[in-house]
This record gives sequence, structure tokens and C-alpha cells, in this order.
Amino acid sequence: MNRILLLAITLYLSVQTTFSKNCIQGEVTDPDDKAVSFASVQDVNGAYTICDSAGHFEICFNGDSAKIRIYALGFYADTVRIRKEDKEIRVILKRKDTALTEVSIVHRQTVKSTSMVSAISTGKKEIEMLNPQNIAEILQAQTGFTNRPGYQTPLTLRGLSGKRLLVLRNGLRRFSSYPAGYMSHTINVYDLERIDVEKGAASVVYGAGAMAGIVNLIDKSPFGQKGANARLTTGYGTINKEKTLLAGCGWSNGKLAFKTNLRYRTAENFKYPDGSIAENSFYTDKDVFTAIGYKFSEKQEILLTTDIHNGGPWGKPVGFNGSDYMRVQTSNENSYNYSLQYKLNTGKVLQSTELSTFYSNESRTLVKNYYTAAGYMLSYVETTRFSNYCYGVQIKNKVKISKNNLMNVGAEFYGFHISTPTDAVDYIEGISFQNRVSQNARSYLSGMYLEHIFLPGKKFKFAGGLRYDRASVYEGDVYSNTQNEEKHENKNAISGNVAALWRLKDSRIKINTARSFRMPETTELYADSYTSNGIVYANPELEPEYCHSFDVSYTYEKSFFDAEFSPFIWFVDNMISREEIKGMPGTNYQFTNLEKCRIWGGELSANLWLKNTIMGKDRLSASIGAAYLNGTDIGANAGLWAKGVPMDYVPPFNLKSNVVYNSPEDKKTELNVAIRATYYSRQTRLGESKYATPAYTFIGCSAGLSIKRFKTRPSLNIAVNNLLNTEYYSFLSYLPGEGRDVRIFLTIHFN
Amino acid sequence: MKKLIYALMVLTFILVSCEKDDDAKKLITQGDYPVKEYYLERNPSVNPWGAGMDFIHSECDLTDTDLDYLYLSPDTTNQYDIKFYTVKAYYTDDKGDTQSEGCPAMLLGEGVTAFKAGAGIDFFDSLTVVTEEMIASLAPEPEVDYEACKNTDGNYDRTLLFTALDQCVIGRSFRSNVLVVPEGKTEQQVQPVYLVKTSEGGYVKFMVKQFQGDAPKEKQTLVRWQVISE
Repeated sequence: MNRILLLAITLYLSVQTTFSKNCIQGEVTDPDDKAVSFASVQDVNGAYTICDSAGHFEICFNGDSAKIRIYALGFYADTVRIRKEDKEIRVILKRKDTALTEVSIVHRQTVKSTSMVSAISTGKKEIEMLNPQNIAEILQAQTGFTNRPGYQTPLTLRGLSGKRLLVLRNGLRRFSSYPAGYMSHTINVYDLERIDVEKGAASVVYGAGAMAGIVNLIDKSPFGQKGANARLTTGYGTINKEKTLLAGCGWSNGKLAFKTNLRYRTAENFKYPDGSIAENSFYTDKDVFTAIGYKFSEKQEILLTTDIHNGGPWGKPVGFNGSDYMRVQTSNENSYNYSLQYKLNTGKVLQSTELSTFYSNESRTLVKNYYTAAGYMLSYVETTRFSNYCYGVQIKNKVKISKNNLMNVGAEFYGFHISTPTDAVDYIEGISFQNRVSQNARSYLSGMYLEHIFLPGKKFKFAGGLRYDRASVYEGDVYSNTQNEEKHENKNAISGNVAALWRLKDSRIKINTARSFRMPETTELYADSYTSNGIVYANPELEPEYCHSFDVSYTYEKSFFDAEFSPFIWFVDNMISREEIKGMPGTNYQFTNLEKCRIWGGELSANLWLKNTIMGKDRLSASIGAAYLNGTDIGANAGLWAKGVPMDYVPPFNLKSNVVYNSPEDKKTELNVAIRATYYSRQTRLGESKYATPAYTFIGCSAGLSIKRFKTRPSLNIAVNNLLNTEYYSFLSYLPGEGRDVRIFLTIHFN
Repeated sequence: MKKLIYALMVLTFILVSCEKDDDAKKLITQGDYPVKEYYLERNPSVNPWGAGMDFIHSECDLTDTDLDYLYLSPDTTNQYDIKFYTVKAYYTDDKGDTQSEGCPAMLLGEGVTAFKAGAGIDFFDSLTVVTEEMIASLAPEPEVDYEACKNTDGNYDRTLLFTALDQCVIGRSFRSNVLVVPEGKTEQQVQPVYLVKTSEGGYVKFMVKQFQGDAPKEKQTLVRWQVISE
């Protein structure tokens, strides 16, 4: 009884201490009443925020009063005392007349605060708690993303993936030869500092493919830590005997910086919950990431990154597409990605410029082996050698026209080339042949955009943008008897958006209406793709796909709680889809335009965090999120609200929750414990596939211990997936998910 | 007395004659046999030599499903009533690449006769008697000479192949690109139903219920049959 009473009192006191926070809004200007953008605002107790481009900020503090310190590049820092009854303050910073001592802005503005749509950011700590296999595994824990486990799996946001969800690495687009779009297994997730996601159309700034949103994979800056540092991690996963080795080192003197990360992993076939083996599900791969940077000054830096992936052999579990008589393996998979980025932050009229160029080269060999139902003899082998390369350049500028007017201006160009020769041996008919399929099929895309941001006051923000893109798509080398010249198409696309943000006392409303697009790619127009699930034939008649979207995001924020409701409705014209071709051996498809589709839904999420629950400065947080999606093919001439036909690939209602406890970070031993649950309902609106995966609940947990008292700061993290060993089928999967998997990672540091 | 005897003889003759008449029109009614449904692999790389369905076989009881069908190999000697066989026809496409096209067909076995009795799953369920007219309609399979369907480069000629298969009793009538499904009807409601007389002399009703199975059985064909009499 005494314990219960003690717990109740502790809980009451902790809630009291947490709930007694006060928040204040403010504005930072110079003596001429001009806004001071991105000034840092810090409470002496450690609370920290950063002003937006209009000089506005909001900060919360404990108790009745606090001192906050405001500092910005080119200004003398100022300290202001604020009291509980103060709701708004204005801080005037005195400009430094002498030569500036540069002040580093160590904190960034989060995507959540800058984006005009619903946005989330997943940090390194959250990433490492999961001991994840790939990026998909991290994002699947976020509301709006769909759970699709496996070594190689597409990222799916709001039911859309691949070519409708733009994946960037440090702001530069990533390409893929996979017909389903970019697969994240070729990136070492442990390189990343964070993953920023914007849900909703973002074509104006990011170009083709940013329809469902963008996923920006951000690497840790090599300038982040001065001096030399290194770390070594070894990991083991029980479900497939996965062995992981991670090594990283870096050095920086503040001007010159270098870092490199390596990953090696190998895994055997995993086990299903019933203990049976998922044959052909093994994998092995290696990655090297290197970044070299030089800072000319605090304002400008240049960064060269190299990202190399060497994978294979790896396979898809037998039966993944419904056939027990086919085995699919990628015998090797290589990707080489190079980028050079130059950044200039002047803080003047031309606030910032970012000039980037990149080159990527990928190759992979897909082998399909068919076996006879009588005797299980090898009957047919098809080997496709994919190779593609891409290159591009982009420039992004932020211009401050006046106190209340900003302009984003930019341009982009990229080229993408692909070849997909295929060899086949038919052991039954006794023949073999080689098909060129496509040879140097390619597309070039160039686009430019202009986005105007108007800040009439600290409560409002308006944005409007326009973008023009032109794509030239070429069939590649011609070798037909009926055709002398390669086919060639030019496609034009205009996209735009109008968005508004309204800040209220404790809440924020964002409205974004946009027209976004994706161009049909050369793989869809001209290059037939030999996939693990049949041949997908190209269609030169394909038109660009447009999405007219209306996104709303309502956010309520208190110091201990926030909630977000983000409904949306999208109308997609000429949606590029696959239709089945009858009469061919196996199941084959052809790309086609669906005339009009309606997709609507939304996410509702809430986060609660309590501080000082068990010990001072610790943190207990709980989050829950629900997502619903409804997709309908409404045809060409029907009204926008016509009943239509349910679309395939629309994930069912799902619910995700997460409870995390973090012990204080400043203690010599740090403990993190988390438990998470995911629920997926049964799909009730069935598309053409008529395949409904049953409802399931999936539970996972993790625990991490970091001991800082030792020089090597060893840390042990254990993550358990499918804790209850439940048999479940993820969305549209014919095979059960993996059984209980315990992943143990041990890390030591050398610095 | 003679008249009486004569009358009795006439009556007996009439009765005997009538009895013989009844025999000639006698209906075969369905016995107590289960309905059977199986998914058969359609892909010729997986099922290259066909799947043989043996409706009535001596090796096991009819309720035992183990040997109801068998994927054939070149060495298989098992008898079958219907073979589900997909021809893999290679051809050169417009781009100059070698492609293959599958042409699935149902072919009657040796000594087996059949005819199309009706269409749709409701008809299948209602077909419980075999009449003389039905028996009279039974026809054997014409021999399909696959070699004759090839052109000079050794590849199949689509026209010749389709023409040859269309001469068959079942042939490729069940294929989704041959069967016409009227608006408002389902495939199951229009798939033809065949009465098959097996080599053993039994009668069986047979239909393809679904040419292409629902996911994840898209590469398989669902067949349905029920023995009427052994």
C-alpha cells in the first residue's frame, strides 16, 4: 500500500513539475526593426529553440521566471528575464559594428517547423534503438508508412511508393532500376544522422516523383565532432543468424573534416513463426561511405561524399509471389554514388545557395530459376543484367527580398541511362537465347522552380510556387527489322502549389494545395523489365501522371503533449499502373495509365512525454498514431465522388503505438527502454487482386544501456521484433512475416 | 381356353416389349461421389509435360485425392482422362527479341469421349443424370499434331496451333481470352461444363472453374469435377 501511495505521489509530483511549464512567444529584430533570422534562443536550464526566418520563436520554461539568452551571427548576444505572466516579448539585438566574430548556429530548423505539410523527423537515437535491418524498418514505425518487412522492400507512404515517393540522400535524389522504385536496402542505415519525411506533394522544390512526399536521408556532418573519433559495432540477429559489423571513424579540425563508415553483414535463411525455414531468404552485403569536407568559413563549405554498396548473393523467400517452383536470386548488386555539394550561407539578400552535382552507377544480376512440378527439375533459367547510371546537377537559392518576403529559386537537371540484357536457357525445349530488351534507354529531365514565401506577421506564413519540367525520353539502341530510328518522346509538366500556415496560441494549421507530377520513365516507356514476378512490358503511349492534392495538418502543442491530425485528398490523373496481360506463360504485365483515381485518408497522432518520472531529467514518452487510406479508380468520365472500383495496393487501417523511457543523458550510465505495438486491420476494400491479408498485431521492444564511465563508452542495445512470435501476413504478402527476432548490438568508441 | 392362352401370350409379349423399351431409355443417375477441385500449374516452365487427371482409377478409392491428378514427365506411363497442357510457343517480337507465348489446352486421353453439356457452375451442380442424347453426343478427341503447327523456323504458328486446338472437344475454350463473359455475369457462370466418358466407361462432369486463380494462385487454373457413375 505504501508503495502504491509513494508511486502515486511520485507520479503526481512529476506531473506537477512537468505540467508547470510556461511558454512564451517572441520576436527578434535589429534596431531598425528588421527581423533577425534564425537567432538562437536558450533558456539557462537548457531549453533551446531557434527563430524562423521572420525572427519568430517560441520557448517553454519551468517555474515562474527564467532567463533566456538570444544570440545571432553579427549581433551582440542579449539576456532577457521573462516571467510567468509574459506571453509575448520582443528582443532587439544590437548589431556588431566591428569585424564579426562568427557564431556557429549549432542547431538546425527541423523539417517539422519549416515544412508546409505534415512532417516527421527520426533521429539517430530512435534509429539505433531498433537495430534496424534497413530504412524501411525505421519508417514503418512511423504513422502513415506501411509495414512491409524483408531485406529488400519499398518505402510506402500513404499507400504510394517507389516513383511517387521521392527518396533523397542529403537532398539529392536517388535512382533505381527496380520497376517498383527505390529500394532502401542499398543504404547503410547506420550512416544516417536522421531521416526527414514530408508527407504530401512537394514537386515544386523537389521535382518529379514528390507526390506522396519526400524521404530525405541525412548523413551526419563530418564537421560534427572535432578531433579524431572512431566506433566499432558488432551485431547478431537470432532469426537468420545475421552477423553485422559496423566500423566508423572520422577526424575534423573544424575546417577540414573526414569520416568513413563501413558495414558488412551476412545472414542465413530466416525462420517463420512456426519454426519452418524461409528458403532462399539469405543475404550478404557490404557498404562503404566516405565524406570529405572543407569549410572555407562559417558561411561556406564543400562536401564530397562517396557511397558504395556491394550486395549479393541474396534471395527472395520461396513462394513470395505465390509460386513454389521458382527461386529468385540477385547474384550481385553494386552501386557507386558520388556527390559534391557546395553550400553558402550569407544571411544577406541571397541568404543561401546550394550547388550540387552527383553521379551514380548501379548494376545487378537477377536470376530466376524455374523448376518442374514433376520431379522438381530445373527447367528454365532467366538471367537479367541490369545496369544503369545517372548524373545531375542542381542549384537551390534562398533570397530575402524584404523583411516579409522570401524567395526560393532553383533548377535541376539529370540524366538516367539503363540497359537490361537478358539471357535465357530453356532446358525442356533445349534452346537458349539472348535478348537485348533495352540498351541505353535513357531520359533527361530539366526543371526550374520559383517559390515565394510571404510572412505578413508572426502568425501567418503563405507560400506559392511554380515549376516547369521537361523530360526527353529515348528508347535506346534500335535493333528491330521494322524500325530504323529509336523512339523518342518529349514530355512537359507544370506543377505548382499554394500553401498557408496559421500559428495560433498552442496550435498550428497548415494547408497545402498542389499539383505534383511524375514523368513516365524510360523503364516504363521503352524498356521491358524482367522482374521476379513476371515480365513488365513498357508502353510508349504513357502520359505523365499528375496529382492534384489538398493536404491539411492541424498540430496542437504543449510543453508535454502534442497531437496532429493530417487529413488529405488527392486526385491522380493518368496514374501509371500495371495491368495484367493474358495468355502469356506465367503472369506478365504492361504499364498503363489509369485515367483518374481518388485517394483520401489521414493520420492522427499524439505524443505525450513526462520528465522527472523516476529520476531527475529522465523522460518517459508515449506516442500513438492511426492511419487510414481509401483509394478508388473512378475512371475517365465519372464524377470526382463516383463509387468507382477499389484500387490495389491500398494498405488497410493501422494503428501504431510506442512507449519509451530514457534515463538522464548526463549520467554516467544511460538506459533506454521501449515497447511498441503495431495493429493492421483486415483489408475490406479489395482491388483487382482480391487478396486480403488478415488483421494482425505485432509487438516489439528494445533496451539499450550505455556506460559512459569507461573511456570506450560501451553500449549494448537489444531489439526484439515480433516479441510474441505471432504468425502474421504483412500487407499483400503471401508469406508470413519473420518469427521472433532478437538483435543484439554492442558498440565501443575510440576517442 | 385357347383364346385365353393366346391373350396371355400377347399380353406377355407386350409387357416384355415394353420392358425392353424402358431399358433403352434408362437414365444414368449420379451416385454418391464428392465434388473435387484442384489448382493446376499453368506455367509451361513449371508444368511442361502437362497434368493428367484420372477421374476414376483402380489404385485407390475415389475419395482419396492423392492420385486424382499427376504432373506428367516424359517417363510417366499413367493413364489420364484429361491432360492440362500448355504449349510454350517461342516467337520473335518486333524488337527482334525472342519471346514465348503460352497456349493452355485441355486434351482428352485415349479412349475418352466428351461433349459440352452446358455452362456455368449452377448447371454443373444440376447435372445429375445422363441421358441417351448426351451419350450420343459424346465424341473422341481428334489427334493434335503439334509438329504440323510449326513453321519453317521451328516455332509454333499461332494460327495453325489455335486452329488445331479448336478442333478438340475442350481445347482452349476455357481461356480468359477465348471465353466471353457477358456484362453482369461471372466467369464461373459461363465456363463450359463437359460430360466425360472415361476409358473405364464411367461418366464424369468436368469444368474449369477459374482459368486464373485469385492471388496468390494467379499462375494456376482451378478445375472441378464430379463422378456421376463409375
